[in-house]
Amino acid sequence: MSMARIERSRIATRWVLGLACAVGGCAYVPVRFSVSEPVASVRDDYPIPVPGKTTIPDELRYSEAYVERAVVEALDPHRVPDSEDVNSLDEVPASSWFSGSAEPSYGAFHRNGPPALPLREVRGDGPPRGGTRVFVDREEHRWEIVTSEKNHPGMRPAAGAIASRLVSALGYYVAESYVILVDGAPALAVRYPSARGLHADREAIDLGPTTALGTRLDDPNDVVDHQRRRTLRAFGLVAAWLGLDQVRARVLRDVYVGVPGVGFVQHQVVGLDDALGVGKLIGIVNDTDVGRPVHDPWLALGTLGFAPKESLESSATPFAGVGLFPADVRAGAYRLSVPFPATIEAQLGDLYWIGKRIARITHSRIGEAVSAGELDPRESSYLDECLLRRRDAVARYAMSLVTPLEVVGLVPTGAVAKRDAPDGTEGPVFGVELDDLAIRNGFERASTSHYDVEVFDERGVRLGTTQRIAPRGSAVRAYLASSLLDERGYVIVRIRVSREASTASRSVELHLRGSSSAPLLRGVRH
Amino acid sequence: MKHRSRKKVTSGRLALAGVLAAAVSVSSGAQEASADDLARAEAARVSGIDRPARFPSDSGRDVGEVFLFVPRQVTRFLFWSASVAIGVIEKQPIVPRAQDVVSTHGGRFAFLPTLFVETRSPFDVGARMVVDFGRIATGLRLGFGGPHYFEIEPRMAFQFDVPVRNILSLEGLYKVDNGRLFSGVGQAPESDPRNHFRPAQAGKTARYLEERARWIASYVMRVHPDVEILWSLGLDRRTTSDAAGAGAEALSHVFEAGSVSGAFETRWTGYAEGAVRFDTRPTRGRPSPGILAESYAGTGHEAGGHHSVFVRVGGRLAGFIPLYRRTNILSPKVVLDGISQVGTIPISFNELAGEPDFRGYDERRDRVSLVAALDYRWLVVEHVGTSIFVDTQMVAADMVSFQPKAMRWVAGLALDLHTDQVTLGQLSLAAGNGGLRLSLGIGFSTSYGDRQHRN
Repeated sequence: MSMARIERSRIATRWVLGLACAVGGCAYVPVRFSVSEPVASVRDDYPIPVPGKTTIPDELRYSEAYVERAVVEALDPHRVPDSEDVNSLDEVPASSWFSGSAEPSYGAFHRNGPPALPLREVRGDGPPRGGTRVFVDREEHRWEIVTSEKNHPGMRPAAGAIASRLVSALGYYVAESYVILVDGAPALAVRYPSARGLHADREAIDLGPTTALGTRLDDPNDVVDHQRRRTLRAFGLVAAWLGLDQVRARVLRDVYVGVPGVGFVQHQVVGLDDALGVGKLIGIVNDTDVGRPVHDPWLALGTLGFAPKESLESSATPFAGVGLFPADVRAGAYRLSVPFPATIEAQLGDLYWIGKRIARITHSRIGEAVSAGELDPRESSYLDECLLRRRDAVARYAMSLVTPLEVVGLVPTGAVAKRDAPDGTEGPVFGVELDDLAIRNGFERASTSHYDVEVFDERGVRLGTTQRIAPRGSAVRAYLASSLLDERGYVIVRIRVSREASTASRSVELHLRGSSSAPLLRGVRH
Repeated sequence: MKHRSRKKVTSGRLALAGVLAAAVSVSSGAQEASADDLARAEAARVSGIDRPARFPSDSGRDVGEVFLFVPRQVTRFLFWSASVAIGVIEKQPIVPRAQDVVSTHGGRFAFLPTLFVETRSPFDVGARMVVDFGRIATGLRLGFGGPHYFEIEPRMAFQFDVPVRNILSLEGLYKVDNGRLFSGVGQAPESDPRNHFRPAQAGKTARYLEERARWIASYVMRVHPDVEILWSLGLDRRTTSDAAGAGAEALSHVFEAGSVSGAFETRWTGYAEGAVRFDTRPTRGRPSPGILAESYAGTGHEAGGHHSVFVRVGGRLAGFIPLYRRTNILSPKVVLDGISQVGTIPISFNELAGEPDFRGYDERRDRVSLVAALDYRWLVVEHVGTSIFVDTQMVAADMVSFQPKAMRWVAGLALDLHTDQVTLGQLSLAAGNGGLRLSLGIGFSTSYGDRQHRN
């Protein structure tokens, strides 16, 4: 039989099987992780020529958000894929998009410090946007200066300074921002373009906004569609926490880092001066928000545009220096006023990932960020309280979507005390130690929580019976018969939490390799 | 680069950058391919997955993918090219107040697919290319709708701002249209004594082929943010004949030979016009409140078989009233067009006032045309509008001969995609006593330049 005939026969077989499966259905086969160590950082900084500078008009943004994504995706029969910038342990490794730091820190944020006065105004190299001017300082560093809104002195600069610190603490690359005085009025000095993270001492070239869909045409390092990046998918929850009304084109920007020809593109968060409800308030004050249709297009269509307006009144802010930023937020119902394609495709695991990072931002760190806004004490106190309450609301919501267990460690067979082995278990056992972040953060109670543990082989065949366990505080320990792993070398442990009458919609899935005496955690999916 | 299958999205100048990137990849291909391949390998390594999950429905989805892959990629390309063209297309001589003619920095290139499909007309599929060099923008549109439908339309606009905004534009058009309709003159052609139908043909609508070449030079001066003055000179050559394949609907089959002035002849028309437009709307694409008033007058001279002279006068008045939201707009509109013959030589039937603003079929002509319309338009999402409308229309030999009882009307609804200043596409359904009309247009500007384009 010739190779061509073999190939034809193979294709025909695949078609027949495909059609048979389509009609009859095929069994679920779980993902299998390799034996490799989890990736901690991604190499996406190979030298490339300097790409061209982009511009993204609002019309393009709207077209992408409302029309292109909807129509094109409607023609795509595949399910929304999982994020592609996530490692085997369900974390986002360091890359040109994300610093990858496990703990929040402002260390990487403060690199150059505030501008060295005096400032000298220069002509920008692109179309100016309202309220933004470009200056260079005494050390010839370039700064974008965002001036205050009329009747709201300090509001926009403070929002930019505070939000940029908090987003930086989440692990994003964020341009340094400081409140300074320009012509006697508060203004926000944004060090841009500048390299961030480990490359902060290298030169930088502004490449314009980051595209919302697809990848950058002229950056060979950019190989993951942006709407499939967890860092961008999760940004909707960041927006809910920080009261960002939309992800405008200037919020996400690309920077070429390094000497032209041998540098790479870094993706940064830059223009956050619309956060903390400022964008919303200014939209109302400037009358640009008045005609905005309601979020639900079918409601807008059915009511002939007479559906009630969703905007707050501009008077809803208690202070001149604060935007429309109430202390309470319904994270699940929070909507960007213009959809951002990546956030629409966010999966529960993506939201949980950012939720736990947001939960790690301590009150003292919030306080540090708020003090950088240089508002009066009452305004600072108000923002501090709002950010804290919204942090908890957002994190609580994220942790309610999944089974919020984090693996603390694996306990080999020999290390399990006999008294720890669950009742009825015959033979040796090994253990998995987990931490329930919802309980740890005080969002749920241990007394009303329990977990169902199931074990599967790598093909998805169930092994043994369901085990029900209860937590001790936030600690959860699951013990499994050693033979399960020893005989197969690969098992999947699925744990789902139930609290009072409700069960989480998603289990956490742990993929274990090796043997019970030396188990290896090689995969986690929330 | 050559192995890239992922979608690449760019915007604005990246349209040009796309072309340039291809060129760059030739010169530095080895280096880019290397970075690309390395980055892909790295991305594949990140997940640590050596076998992806398989769901019961995946086989069905794979089968669906076989059928949907090509339509999806074509749709993606349409949006991509339409999106990059948006900024460039906005550079047109209109009266945007809040947003002046789009500011550009360096040249931009855009390629925009166009499509026009309408019941009772040939389809038109084509493309528009626009190159914008800042002060000068050039455009070329090609359309094709079968062996007897073709059009090519080059345009060039030059903008200068001393002392006020001025736009000088030159344009040409060559068009062969096999689907032109003519029901006769008058509101009720079947009973109008000026029409000479062949036996048993009274009341029929004839189809004819028009071959047209047109050149227009226009000058627009924006003397005030809301006020535009337009002058234009045009030269038009039209040849009419029976539509190919029209059979019993052919012009020569419906009307007596020689009874339709200008039919089956080649006529040249020189035309000069002045117009004033007052438009207080901040945006013309996005619904916004304001007032529109426009008036024009012009004179033309036909050469060819006859040497007729005519004068055109007309205008339009529309209000845009916000209801509840600034983007819910109720809009009453009146459009009056008139043409008057100077001397005794009759003017061509296709120079008579038609019904370009009427959203039913444009098939009646006479010396005076009156359209009254009421629109209600609102936003469904940003840049997508919906409207419901009622149009009424009459043509007559003069202002006192309108017959309201024979008035034609349509009511309908439309869905449009727009930028702030330009409508990019529209799907419209209208029904009335002239029949049902469904149309879909993508990439056609509805308001380019002066009033002459409505003829």
